[in-house]
Amino acid sequence: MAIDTRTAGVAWTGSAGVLGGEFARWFGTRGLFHLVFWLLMIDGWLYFTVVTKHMPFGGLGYQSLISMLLLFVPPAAIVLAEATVIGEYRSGVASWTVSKPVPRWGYVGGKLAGLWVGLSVAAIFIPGLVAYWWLPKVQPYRFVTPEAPPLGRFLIALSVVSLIVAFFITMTAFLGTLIRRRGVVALIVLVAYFFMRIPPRWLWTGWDTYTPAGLTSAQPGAWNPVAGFIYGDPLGATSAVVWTIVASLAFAAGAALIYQRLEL
Amino acid sequence: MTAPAIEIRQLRKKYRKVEALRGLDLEVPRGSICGFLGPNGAGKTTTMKILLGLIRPSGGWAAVLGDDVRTHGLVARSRIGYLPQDPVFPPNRTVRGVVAYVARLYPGHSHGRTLRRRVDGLLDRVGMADQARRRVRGLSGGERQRLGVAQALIADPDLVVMDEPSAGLDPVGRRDMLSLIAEIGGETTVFYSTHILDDVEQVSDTVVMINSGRAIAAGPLESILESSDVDYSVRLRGATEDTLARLTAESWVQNVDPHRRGEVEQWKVRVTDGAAAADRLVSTLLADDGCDVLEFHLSDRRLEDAYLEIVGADDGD
Repeated sequence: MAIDTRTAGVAWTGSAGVLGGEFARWFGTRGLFHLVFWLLMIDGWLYFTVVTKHMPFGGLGYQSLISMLLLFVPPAAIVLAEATVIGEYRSGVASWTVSKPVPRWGYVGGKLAGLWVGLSVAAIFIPGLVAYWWLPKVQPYRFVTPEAPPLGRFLIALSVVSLIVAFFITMTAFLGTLIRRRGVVALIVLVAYFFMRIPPRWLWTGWDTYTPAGLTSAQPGAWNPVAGFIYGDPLGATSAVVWTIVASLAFAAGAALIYQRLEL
Repeated sequence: MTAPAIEIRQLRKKYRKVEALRGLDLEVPRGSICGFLGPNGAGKTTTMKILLGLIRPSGGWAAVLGDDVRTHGLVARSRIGYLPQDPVFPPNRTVRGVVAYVARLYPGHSHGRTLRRRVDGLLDRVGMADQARRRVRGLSGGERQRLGVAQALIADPDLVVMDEPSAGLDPVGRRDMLSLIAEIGGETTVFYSTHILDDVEQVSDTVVMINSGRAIAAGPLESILESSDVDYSVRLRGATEDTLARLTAESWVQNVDPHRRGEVEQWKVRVTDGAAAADRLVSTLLADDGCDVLEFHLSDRRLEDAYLEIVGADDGD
């Protein structure tokens, strides 16, 4: 069925309005709060691990940064995505929004894209780039001052972390629209997150090829592939990147399709 | 020919075993202030939600300003301002932020300072100008309702749909809300549901009554009132049994409900011919020399009587 130009114009404005509204929040108090929180969480803790003798793995630099981002940001993304999808559905804000000229796919897409971009900027790119600047300037406790990796490789590594965050956001959104129970969804996605870090490879050999585990999970005795990538190691299975993108898009499309049929 | 503001034909909605709408037909003319009346569970909110695309009908057809809400729902919604029952807004946004956010969801919205002036003007109009920077989570029920009106009007809609706009408001809030509805009605079509029949009598010019998912009466307020028996309230001093008997014997009187308060009698006279009653009621009473008519007017509760009569006569099948 062809979409007429009037409907397309209204749909575009409504969807852009939702996305703009999300960006406005990230540029406002919400963004400032996250920025301060993540700078303290990532850069503060990283500084602590690098310079103090009390941390067992202290002294490492950029690899620790990537590991911290992979450890802390996805769970936060899961919580925020739950609040966005299930929280707004339950509170009635979703119903209020789609009573305006906003297509439901535009509502879901705008919310998820806004959260992904906002969280990536506030929790990954800004703390990452701040650390990129100060890490070579400090004297680590155990090792030599880390040499800054090429900026391009470093930015690609941050982008891969952001992609993994997108995977968890969309997975939470998909399950959230399907199940609409916070506890159950959180449990399922957190189990998935755990598997992405410590995949039961004895159960299935495809973890590293077909899931983000190929990017986030370290083989025994090695850094995780993204952390290793910044100093020149290969990223691991390229298919893991492709499949993470495909899965994220599929989850987002699934969430939008389910939302389309919800009675609000 | 211009399409009506709302046109609904044989609309049906079934929730599992419950049939909320059972072939609803209604038409709301453009430019009217239409009160949508019905008992709890009659299907008022369901009807409104179908118009707004929040739920899908099981059958039938509905159009807003000529646009089918199923095939052109987005276009239809771009011309509607909606105030939900118990409005919920994003709790962390400011009052101004909510209205500006809604404005940006509509096509052809203004930007920058123009938008800000428009938002502030609207907040001033609903009495929220001094609350513009407050967060939604701290607002009272009445303030939230007024914010709801502001966000419903921000896009200059051709149709404003309000689900029980004065429910839960204190008397001052209710009075302000009615003034707002009357004011909005001069600019656009207003379709609102309510249980408060006095509100409808004060501000509506059109009424739709619904019961068990079907429309049971619809039309201009005056015709609804005329279609039912008319009540007069009369306060008398010095009335006797003879006065009462003389009045009751008149052919245009259906019955008289007399109450005594001290020396004053308060009678509710139900008549079958309003014109005859207007002509002859007072003269019939004054025919008794000792009887003084202190007050004489159409009953204030006419719509309530009409409503009870119409809903009571409908068996719901």
